[in-house]
This record gives sequence, C-alpha cells and structure tokens, in this order.
Amino acid sequence: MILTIAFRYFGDKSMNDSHSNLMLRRTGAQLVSFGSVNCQNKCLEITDPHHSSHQSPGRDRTESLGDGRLKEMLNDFVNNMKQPGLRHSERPVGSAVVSSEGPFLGCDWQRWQQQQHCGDSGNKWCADVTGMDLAQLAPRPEAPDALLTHIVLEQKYQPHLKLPTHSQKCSGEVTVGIRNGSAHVLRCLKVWYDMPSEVLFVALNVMDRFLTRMKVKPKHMACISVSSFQLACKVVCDCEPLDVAVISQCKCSVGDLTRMQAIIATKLGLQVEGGGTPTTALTFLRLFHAACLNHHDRLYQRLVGEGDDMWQRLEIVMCDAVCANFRACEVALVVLCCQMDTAVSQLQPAASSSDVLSLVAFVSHLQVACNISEASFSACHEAVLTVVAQYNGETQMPHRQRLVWRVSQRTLRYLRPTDKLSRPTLPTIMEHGQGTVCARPRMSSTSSQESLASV
Amino acid sequence: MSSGAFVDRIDPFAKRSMKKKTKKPQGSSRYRTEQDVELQPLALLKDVPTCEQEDLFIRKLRQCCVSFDFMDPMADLKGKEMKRSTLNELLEHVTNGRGVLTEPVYPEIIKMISANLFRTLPPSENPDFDPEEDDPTLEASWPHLTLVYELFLRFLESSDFQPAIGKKVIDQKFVLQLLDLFDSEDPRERDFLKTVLHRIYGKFLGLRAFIRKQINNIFLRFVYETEHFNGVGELLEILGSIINGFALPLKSEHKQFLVKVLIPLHKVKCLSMYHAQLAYCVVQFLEKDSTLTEPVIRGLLKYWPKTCSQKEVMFLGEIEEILDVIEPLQFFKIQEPLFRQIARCVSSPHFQVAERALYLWNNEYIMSLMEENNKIIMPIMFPALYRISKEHWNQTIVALIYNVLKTFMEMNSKLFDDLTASYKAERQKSDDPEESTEVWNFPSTSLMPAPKRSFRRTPSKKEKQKVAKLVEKKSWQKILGPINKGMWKKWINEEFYVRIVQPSILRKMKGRKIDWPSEASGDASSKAAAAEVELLSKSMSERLQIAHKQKMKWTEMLGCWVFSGQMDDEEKDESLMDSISEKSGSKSQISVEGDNEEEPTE
Repeated sequence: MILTIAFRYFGDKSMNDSHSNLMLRRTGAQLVSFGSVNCQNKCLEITDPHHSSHQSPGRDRTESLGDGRLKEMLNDFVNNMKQPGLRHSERPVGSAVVSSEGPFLGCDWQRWQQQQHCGDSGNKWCADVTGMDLAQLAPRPEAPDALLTHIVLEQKYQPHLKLPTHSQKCSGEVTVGIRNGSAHVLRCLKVWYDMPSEVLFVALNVMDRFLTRMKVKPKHMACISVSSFQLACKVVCDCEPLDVAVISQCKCSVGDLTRMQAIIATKLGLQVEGGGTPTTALTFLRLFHAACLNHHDRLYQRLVGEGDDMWQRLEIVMCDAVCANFRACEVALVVLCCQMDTAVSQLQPAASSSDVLSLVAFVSHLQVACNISEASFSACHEAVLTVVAQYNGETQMPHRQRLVWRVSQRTLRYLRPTDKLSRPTLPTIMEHGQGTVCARPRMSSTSSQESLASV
Repeated sequence: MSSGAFVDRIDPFAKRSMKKKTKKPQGSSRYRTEQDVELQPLALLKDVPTCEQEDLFIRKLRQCCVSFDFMDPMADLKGKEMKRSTLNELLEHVTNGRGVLTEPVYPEIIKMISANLFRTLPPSENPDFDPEEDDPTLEASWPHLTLVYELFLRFLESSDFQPAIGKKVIDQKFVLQLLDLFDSEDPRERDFLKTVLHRIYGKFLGLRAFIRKQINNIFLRFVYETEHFNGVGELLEILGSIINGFALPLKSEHKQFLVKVLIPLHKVKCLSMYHAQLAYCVVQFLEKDSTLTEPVIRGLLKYWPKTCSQKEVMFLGEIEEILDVIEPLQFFKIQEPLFRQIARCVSSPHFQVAERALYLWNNEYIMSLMEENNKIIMPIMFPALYRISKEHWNQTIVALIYNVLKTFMEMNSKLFDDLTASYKAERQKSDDPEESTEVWNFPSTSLMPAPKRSFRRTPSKKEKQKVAKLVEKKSWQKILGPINKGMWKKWINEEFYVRIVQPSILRKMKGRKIDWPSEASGDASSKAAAAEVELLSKSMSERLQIAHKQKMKWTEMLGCWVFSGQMDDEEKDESLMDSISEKSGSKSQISVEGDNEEEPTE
C-alpha cells in the first residue's frame, strides 16, 4: 500500500523501467516481523518462535502485568532484539521468505541491510535487484527504542469501539454518529482554548477507551466527552479550562464533570499526575516524522515540510470512530503515506526516482518495525481515505451539535422590528381598482423565537 | 399652509428644558374668536317625520361647528354637553339611518368635520420631547374630537357613501389639512387619522397620487429638515397596505419612493418611533420585487449607524427580516459588503449589537444561505470571531461566538482549519517588531484579564516589545499609567523584584551606567542606588517592603525589567534587544551583552 506513492510517482514516467518497479514491489513486500508482541488488557504476551530461550525465566506466554513490570519486560525485549544473530522469519503477507541475520533495531540498519544483501544468496528478491544498490536505498532508522516502547504501550491504550451505526435505531446506546459528533465538539474545544493537538488525541483516546469498556447512554455522552477533554488538559498541559461546562453546552454542571472525571479515571486506571500520556496516533506520527526528517531531509522536507496539513489531517481522521479502532501506529503511518502520496504528484520539479524509492523503502521499514500487516494497512488506508475525502470535499458535517442560543432580555425584546405590529395592519389597497383584500399573512421565520422556546 | 406649520414651530434658538412641567400634559389651540353662541336645543331626529330629517340633520351639523374651550374645564358645561349629545345622535343617525347621505348633506358634513378637526396644532409643551420616554400631550377637546372622527369614519364607510359625490368636497386641500394633523402628539387622534386617510386613499382614486406625493413631501422634510413629525409611523402603516397592493411590475415611481424616501428614513435619530412600520414597508417592497434587494441593503449599509448602538440593533433586526425573504441570487450579490458590516457588528464593544448580530446564525434560512456561500462568508467573519472569542468581556457573547464558530466548523471543517492556521500565521507576522507600527493604546482589551481563562494571561512577546519601545523612547508616563492603575499588579510581586529590580542593582554595582529617566538624575539617583545596595542585604519580603516604603520609581524597576526580562527569555528576544540598543545608538548607554553571569542565582 505504501507503494501507491511510488507507483503514482513512477506511473507516468518510468513504467518501462521494470527494474525499479520490481524493486519497489520487493521492498514493499519485505515485511520482516521480529516476533509478535501482543498486549491486551494489560496482559503481555511475548512470543518468539525461534528464540524462546531468550525469554526471561518465569515469563509465561500470558501474564498479567502492571505498568512497571511492563516497562521492565520491554527493556528485556528490546535488549533481546539487539542481540546479534537473531533470526526473524515470520512473514505477514505471502512474499518471498526473508531471513535475516544480524542486529535488528537500535543498531545500524544500513549495515544490517548490507549484510542481508550480501550474505543471504538464497534470497530471491535480492537476486532480482541487480544493478541497484540497495544499500543506497536503505535508510537508517533512529530511536527505535522509543518506537518499540510505544508499540508495546499502544496495545494498552487501544480502544475497541463496538458501537451501533446510526442507521440502526438502537435506542439507549451511543451510536457511531453520536461518538463522532462528540469528537468534533472536542476538536472545536481544542481550537477554542488554543490547546495543543495532543490534548485532543488524549481526550479522544480516553473517551474511546471509556466507551469500549462501558455501555453509555446517549444523554451522558456530552458529559463524558467534555470530562475526557478536561482530563486530557490536566494530563497534557496541567491546566483546566474552567468555563468549559458553559462553553461546550454539555448540559451538566461543573460538579457533574468532576464526578465523571473521577469515574473515567478510575475505570481506565488513569493517573492524572505522573501517569504519563497515553500513546496515540500523534505519538507515532511524531516519531515517524522525526525519523523521516532525519533520514530523508531533502525529499521528505519538500514533501511534508513542517507537516501542518498532516497534523490537521490526523486530527480529522481520529475524530472518526472507524479509524479510531485501528492501531495508532497504523493510522499514523497511513496518514503519513497519504500526505506524501498527495505531495509527490504535485512536486515541482519532480523528485528523482532514487529519492522516492529510498523514501518508500524507509517507510516500508517503518511498517515492518511497527509490525503492520499489509492487509490491516490497506484496510486502514481505505478508512482514512474515506474520511479525508469527506474533509477535502468541504462538505457539511453529518452530525451537528444542538446549540443553545441565548441572548439577553434586552436584545430579545427587539429581535424583530415588525413583531411590534402585532395588531392586524390596515387591509391592503390594490393599486388598480377600489377593492380591498385582506392583509396577506406575514411570512416570517420564527426560528429564533422557536428555538429559544424549546430551550 | 402645511410647510409653514412645520418650519415655524422649530425655533433653533429655543432654550431647552427651561419650562417647568406644571400642568397636566394636555393642550389645545382652540380659541373662541366669536362671542359665545348659545346653542339652541333642537328636536331629536327620530321625532321628526322623514321628510324633515334632512333639514334637521343639516341644522344639527351646523350646530356642531361651534367649538368650546376645553382648557377651562368649567367653562360652558351646558353647551359642551349639548354638542356631545348632538354628535352622538348624528353618529347614530349616520350609522343606522337609511338614505341619510343625500347630496346636500356631503358638504355640510365635511364643513362640520373641517371646523372641528382642522386647527393649528399647539406647540409642543416639552421641546425636549422624547417620544419613547415622555408622555404625549393629549388633546383637551378629545371628548368632542373623538365623536367627530368617529362620525367621519362612519360617513366614509357607510354603504350609502358615494365617492363620486364625495370627491367634490373631499379635495386636495382637505387632504392636505388632514395630513397636517398627523403631527398631533395625541396617539388616539393619529390612530383615527390613519384609518380615515386609509379609507380616503382607498375610495378616491383621483387623490391617490396626490396623497402619495404629499406623504413623500412630509417624509423628505422630516428627514432632511425638521427630524420632527409625530405621525411618521401611522403614515408608514398606511403605505404598508398600499405597497402590499402595488401591481407588478412596480412603477418606477414606487421604486424611487423606496430608494429616495424609505431608505433615507433610516438615518433619522428617532428611528425607533417608526422602525417597525418602516421595516414592514421595506420587506413588502422586497417581496414584491426581489431585484430591489441589492439597492435596499446597500442603502442600509450606507446609513448604518456609527455611534448609536440602539439604532444598530434595529438595523440588524431589519437585516434579519430582509434576509428572511431574500432570494439566494440576491443574497449572493450582497453578501460580501453585508457580512463585512456584520463582522464589524460582531466586534462591537456594545454587547447588544454583538449579540444581535450573532443571533442571525440562529435563523435556519439564513444559515442555509451562509452554508451555500460559506467559502465567501467564513473568511470575512472568521478573524473577528476568532479575535473576540479570546477577549470579549461578556459571557453571553463568548457563548454565542462559540456557537457560530462551531457552526462554521460543521459547515466546512477544512476551510475552518485553514482559516485558523492563516489567522494565527497572520498574527505571528504582525507580532514582528518590524511589522507593527500601530500606536500602542495601552488599556486594550487584550491586556484585560480574561475572566475564568487565567491560563492565557501571560504578557505576550508583542506586549513586551511594546514596553521595550516605550522605554527606548522614554515615554515613561505611558508605561506608568497602567501600572498606577493597578493593571499590572500581578506582575509586580516578589518574583518581579528578584528578576527585575535586583539585576539592575547588580548592574549598577558593577559600575554600569544606565540611562535612567531624567527624574532620577543627580543626587537622587545615587541615593536610590545606595538604598538599593542596602536592600540587597535584606530578605526578599523585607526588600519588597522597603522598596514600597521608599516608593522606588516603578519606571526604574520597569526599565530594568524590560531588559533583564528580555535576557531571561529566549535568544530571539536577545536579538531584539540588540536591535533596540543599536537603534538607540550612542545616546543610550544601556548595554545588554554578557549579563548572564550577573543574573540572580536564586
């Protein structure tokens, strides 16, 4: 899927270059998994099919762990990964077997690539790539430790929303539509209070995880979402907008919000102080962005730059319930790819093919490092594209917040000048002829009044 | 006659408010010129045979031409009572009688009506008459007048009434005199006049153009000369029913009337007196012919009130009425200037104006129009909305702004995000010292503590830079002002002392010369320096107290703060300081380099 970028790029100008096409396909297919790390509901399960001996004694396949233990294990795991001679042979998608030797993460990726390239003569795809020095294409990933940490933590913070779609008249439960509406309210609040993006992502994450765990009635949704926002403010920037209860029109008091915050924090085991911020798609996108900037400064800089659009896009994507269910790193990678995908075709002057190839290769390394299967990547890509298309279409949002419009009594009295003419006005005098007809009933929009009455 | 009545009453040199209000607000301009006429009691109409009724009817009408002095309540009570009962009898006769309105009766009735109604209106008791606040002066002779008006109406509305005969007696002169009466302060009288004129306009086709023309004249004189006429609302109400019946396509005369008369009526100070009727007329026109929308809205924008917020609220109300009936194509034509004005209203410091403007978004139809044109309207509105969301003092307004921004976000998220980004970028750009040339008006709302949003209250880089500029220019007073007013109270605390005052003392002790303001020159400054050195040995709170006791010049403290504060900040600020000291050149001996080691370690 990542290759869509490259395919688009090569589509018109170098299709005849079967060589590089082949190369691309191979790069994309080169999905090396280094064992699987599954972490669900605070249960960590680490499997390494070939190297069970590396596991620390006493570590069961499934073991309930707290945060501290988790980190400890994580370190072990990363250290294991760094050991030379580790073999990885799991292939997510049907591609040629890739076996590798040598240090994996945290070491010189390029060297590893070279070793792989030269040392493993049985590797078919390497044999195919003649005349193209893979070493030149292979990037050098930075900070894989941080990445690994977050990949493991990601599971802990992963929401699994199972909400009914709004088409089903499922009374008494929050639907996808209501959830998305609340998400956009949070986004508006984030803009309103000039909060950093992270607040929004954390708030959405907290809200989604709460929705995953609890069955929630629609009437409580506003309270939950705003409480999540407040929690996120506290976690991220240690501040709390005080008038949020009024501004957001969540129809609950400050006390209600405080109580709801406590409930959410308890249910999710959220520590406001010193608990660390949840791993969200933003965390990953930042890591990816930094890594790409580090390695492909020229092309990536031209394609993404500061990435203002990209952060915005990610916010929009995460406001969608479908996308929120994907792994955070998947969403982040897909958004990154979408950004490059759109940028690469518009680039003037066009980028050189080797640059594009190398960037694509690097991104596919990221995919490998995050253990994202091709299937889930493409599913996520599809979902993200739908959301982004809707956003770019500049269409009206499907879910609108029911807003309350209050004005002072003084203004209310003078809302409509002609309301003063309450008694029936004089009958109409027709211009031609003497006959008079009854006054035509005034057509007036009473929306202002009506909606006020309904408040 | 009519023009004289208006111009004469206006005395530009009249001393206002000198008169005391002693009497009841009642007035009459009736003077009995003739000698008292004793009314002879006549037989009742029902008691005479039908053949004599016409004659008796006429005699009674003539009798009713006598007017009485109502300013003296006790005068001629008998005559007044007799006239009242006679009028009642006539009224009854006209209403219920059959074949009463014979041709000879017409001139007699009109003569009686003219004799009673047409009079020079009394000058206003209160020259400062405020139509909204003060009670109107009521007509003293109302007990008789009301019956005469009633009779007039019954006469016009009678099934026997024949316009062909009526037009001989109800002529242009009569109508003119009737129109003059519309200036009566008594609302009861104006209400009758309204109905009467409406009937006359309906029945006498030959008089219609004349009546319209005379109403135009009254309005134009009102707008451009006197700004005083009590019956504008009533006349407009009649016009409303006339406009409603205009045939299509509209005659150019009528369109002219709209543009040249009705629209300028908006500029008069006492618009509130007749705004409802005026708005009604305007909307009627637009419903008749939607192509008039553009000139109307442009006209309103031209006369948009600059200082009178009450009128501004009325204008906004009228705009909503117009937008309620506007056609999408017309909306498209005028949206840009209109919404630029609405953006100004939204930023109005008067909360009612802002409130009314924001309330437009609560109208479904207007919302749908904005939705269709969001790419034009959102960029116009956004900067004002975003700015106010950060700084408006009124919580109702802040809540409404949230609503509007939220609806914008729902309308077009992408555009909303783009606008937010570009607004922020723009502001960043204007924060550049090179860019900002505006004069610093200190107590700007942005410096006022935003209620309940304390985390936004830190002096921005721009504010600091402005202080720096003032220091450079030695405009001490401008800096002092707000501090004395306590606006920066929060800043002047212990931390302020440590970070700001102390470095300055240290700098002085190291022998650096600082270009203090002239007040602190000579002995005074050395004394101050000595005091400061002494201060250093004390604990922090002691120092602060002493500083307060000695009334250390805030200018000094502030001057230091600007520079030391800058140094504490990022390097960017330092480069700014470099540029400032460069600019000030040799005159200023302030040096800012290499001061870091002198910073207090606390």
